[in-house]
Amino acid sequence: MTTRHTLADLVVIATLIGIGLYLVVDGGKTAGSTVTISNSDGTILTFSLNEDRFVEIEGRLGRSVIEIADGRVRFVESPCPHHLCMRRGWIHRCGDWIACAPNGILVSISGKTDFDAITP
Amino acid sequence: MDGRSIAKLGVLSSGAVAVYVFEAMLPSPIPWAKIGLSNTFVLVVLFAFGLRHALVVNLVRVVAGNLLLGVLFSPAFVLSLGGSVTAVLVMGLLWHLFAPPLSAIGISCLGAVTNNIVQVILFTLLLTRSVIAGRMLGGFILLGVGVGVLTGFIAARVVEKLQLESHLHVG
Repeated sequence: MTTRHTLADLVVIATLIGIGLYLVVDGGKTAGSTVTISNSDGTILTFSLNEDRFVEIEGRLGRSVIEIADGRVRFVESPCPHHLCMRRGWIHRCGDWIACAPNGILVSISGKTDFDAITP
Repeated sequence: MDGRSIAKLGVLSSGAVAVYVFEAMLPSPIPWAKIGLSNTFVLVVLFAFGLRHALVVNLVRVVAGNLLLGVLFSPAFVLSLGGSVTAVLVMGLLWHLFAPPLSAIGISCLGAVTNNIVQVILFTLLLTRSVIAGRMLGGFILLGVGVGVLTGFIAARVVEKLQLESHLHVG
């Protein structure tokens, strides 16, 4: 018996590290199905991720515009000073969210989660 | 089985239990989580004596270790037993089928990762009502690779240096 590793060992190790890193980074999240948009007044709007549309909602500072397209969501317009919500870009996975703290708007994606996480 | 082999297996079993108990005393950010260095002894037995003996030594390690720690039949015991028995079976199978392309290190790696995946699944199914957290699983897979390389290397070196004869693979 030797302690020398073989090429097959390296392939196995690299594959396992790849799977591990993928899961750590991606979290094994699945694509969401519904978008929930709320403001600080307690208005809660729910939309399907499958229907493309623009949503306008009033916040503390003014009107935010949110776009739903191709199963993804993003902030298009916001009256907040730094536009961090717009710079967040598109989100599409279950559990993803974007908050616009100055305007009091929260956009989150929900949907059925199942055991897809163990069979990526 | 001759007396020398029985003596060797006895020493390896007691070593496994000692390291298992010692490891449980080390501080850990996750309750129950151990590095898994006591698996080295099970690997040595697997490589030198074969699957059947490895299963027995692993059973001794987990039962005696948890008995000494006072957590026999606790959830920690169930996770430890389920993960390690599955891992030993998988490693025995791989050792039998893929030993020429894979070496002890690759097999040990796959065993450690199997152990961790089974433990995460058992933990989720038995102790929580949530779905399996992919991020947690990924972390434990990465941990398993690291520990697997380490224990595989140590076990191969021990078998080499002590010249424990291989009963499973001749030559």
